[in-house]
Amino acid sequence: MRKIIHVDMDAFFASVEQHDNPKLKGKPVIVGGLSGRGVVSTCSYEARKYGIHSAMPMYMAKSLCPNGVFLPVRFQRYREVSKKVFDILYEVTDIVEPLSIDEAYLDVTDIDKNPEDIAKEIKEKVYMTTGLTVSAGVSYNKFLAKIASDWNKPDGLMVITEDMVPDILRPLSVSKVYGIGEKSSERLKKIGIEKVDDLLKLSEEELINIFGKYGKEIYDRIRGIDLKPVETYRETKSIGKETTLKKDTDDIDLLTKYLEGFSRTISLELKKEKLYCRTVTVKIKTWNFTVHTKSRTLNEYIDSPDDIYNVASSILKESNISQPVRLIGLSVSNLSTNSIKQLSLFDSEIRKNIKIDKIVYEVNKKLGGYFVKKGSDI
Amino acid sequence: MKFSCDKISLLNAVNKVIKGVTPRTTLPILQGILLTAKDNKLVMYSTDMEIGIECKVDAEIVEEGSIVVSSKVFSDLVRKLPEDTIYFTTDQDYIVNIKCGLSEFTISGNSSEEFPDIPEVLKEITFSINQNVLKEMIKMTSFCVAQDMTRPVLTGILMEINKNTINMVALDGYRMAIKKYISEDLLLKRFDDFSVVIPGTTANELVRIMEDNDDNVYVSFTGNQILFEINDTKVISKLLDGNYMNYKAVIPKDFKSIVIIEKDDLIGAIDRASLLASNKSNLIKFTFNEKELIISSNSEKGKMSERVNIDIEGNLIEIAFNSRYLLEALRVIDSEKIKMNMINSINPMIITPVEDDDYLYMVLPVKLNG
Repeated sequence: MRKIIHVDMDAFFASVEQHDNPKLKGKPVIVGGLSGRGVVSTCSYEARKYGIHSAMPMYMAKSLCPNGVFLPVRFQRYREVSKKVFDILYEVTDIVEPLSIDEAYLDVTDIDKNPEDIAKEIKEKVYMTTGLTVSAGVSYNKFLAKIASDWNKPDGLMVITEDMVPDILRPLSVSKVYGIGEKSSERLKKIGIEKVDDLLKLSEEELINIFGKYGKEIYDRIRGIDLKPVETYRETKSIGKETTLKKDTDDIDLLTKYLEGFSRTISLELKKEKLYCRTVTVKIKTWNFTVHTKSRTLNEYIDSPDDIYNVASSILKESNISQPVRLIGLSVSNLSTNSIKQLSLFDSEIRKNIKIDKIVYEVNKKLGGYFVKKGSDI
Repeated sequence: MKFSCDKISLLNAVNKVIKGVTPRTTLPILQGILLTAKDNKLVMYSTDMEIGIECKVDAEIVEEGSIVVSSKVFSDLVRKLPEDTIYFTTDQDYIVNIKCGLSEFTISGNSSEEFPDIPEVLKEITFSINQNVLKEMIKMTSFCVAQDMTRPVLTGILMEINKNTINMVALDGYRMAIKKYISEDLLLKRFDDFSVVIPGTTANELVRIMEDNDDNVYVSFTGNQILFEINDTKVISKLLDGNYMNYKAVIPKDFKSIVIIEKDDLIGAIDRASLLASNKSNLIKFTFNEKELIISSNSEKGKMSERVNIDIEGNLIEIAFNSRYLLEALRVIDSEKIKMNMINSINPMIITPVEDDDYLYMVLPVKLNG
């Protein structure tokens, strides 16, 4: 039997703000994009009482809680704090799978200690070092550990043992089950399945009918079987950037400008990671919050801002935007460290090269000898 | 409408016209062929709105008229009729009666009202060219047209006419082919230089329609249309809009490494190297020494290398290519030896036939790690 711990910082961004400015303690603190069109990243537990939750449009949060403290996102600071927390986790074991800036799995199977004690130690150390609370869940697989850490947030600690499964899961909403997203829960709701209890009544075949090949995984998961290992190295699968616009727009030129900027940022990131991408995806959220994504996979790997931009802008053109756009995003995936690249006449570098070679050739021809050389030839 | 004609000539014409019918169309009428009986000719016409193909057959007209028949049914039927005279009548309900020998068919047709008219191409500019020459020029370039619509104009072949020279150019960014033809007797109605871009699909249809003889093709243009006339057959097509790339500006001139090699040896070696190249990139590598080109490839399937004798002048370089881009060009070149002109591993390579100054193929290499 494995021993897995899931740790999840409580209202991380908001807690950091409350810690850095003690006057905010006990107050509803909402962190996120403040432009009025931004969305909530995190809010304190005080704010949650007003019905605010992450990903909610900021204007909605403001109307629900006009007296709240609204703060911009300070990524730099949160990263600093996050690093301290992860340092503590890595002291416990090397088998840490970071899920995000404030969440991770640890596999402590090989540590000769009670996992609950390990979790307690982590909680104490995090509090001592950062002044922040973290919730921890202990169980024998990743799915159950995560369910456990969520059990009595904030500052919670919960252990789920084999004998508690599946009864403990019965009252949970199906959306808590890893692999069942928003759309699937809606679909299940339509056929009268809202709780894990309802889901347990379905046979494996029925689940496969609903979820396809993942049906079997879900069937097993709600019965306490989840063999996914804690992966210490999470491969970067995609790199992306998106923004909520200051104002809804259907101005293609303006949207294209955003894609140009994103292409530059993404290209820098790719170059930093020495990666190349083959798939480019443009995401658009229209004024009524409908999300459209459109991808194109190329025959070759690219990393330059121009190449990414050219693909992205042609995707945008083809998507025939007819409604005002609220959010635009660009991401690249199908990443590889392999840079085998079919050169093209449309690579700006190639054209520059050819042009320089021609100038050198023409000058030398006029001078009647090999006088002018390119730097690369010397 | 009432006429009769000979089966063989009708079948020849049907086989040409059917190439203008697209199986996928939003306008069902376009799956038909328009038949018009007039002035002792049966005129057949098909179009997909981009290309139109018209073919005339001698016929004995009893009553003039026109009708649209299903291309599939009509062509199958004509193909299988005995070799005899075909008698053709239609009534006001668009019912078509076909008699040939002892067989008689009745099929339903459609009114010709809904069928697009055959466009009139004003013959502003006209020249003529031997159809075998034109066929060769298209075959040597059309494989380079762009397959994706990122730059629509590159899905066509550029045709430049300059006094007595015709240049055909196709490029997709990864490679480019230029075929030149110099003639003393291009019958030009107008003598200004001009250029048009012919859709790649039109060019390929044309190759299939042209016969294997030295008859001339008469080519005419107006603003956005081109017309090819070969005896009793006409191909009318839209031209592509947009400015073609300034292709001359990207042809390098100053080469650091010039290699002469037997074409068939090279094709054989590249073909074998492709067997073990990865499916996606078809990556093969060229390494030169003083007397040999070493072609190699490796992938999860295995690895191979092969040596080919060469004459080389200049630097001994390493360069990699998509093998498909080399094979497609080498297969259309009719010359025992070819010349490969290179600069380094990241600049275009130019291939020219040793015995033909009128063809140039440029291919960009694959850049390896780093």
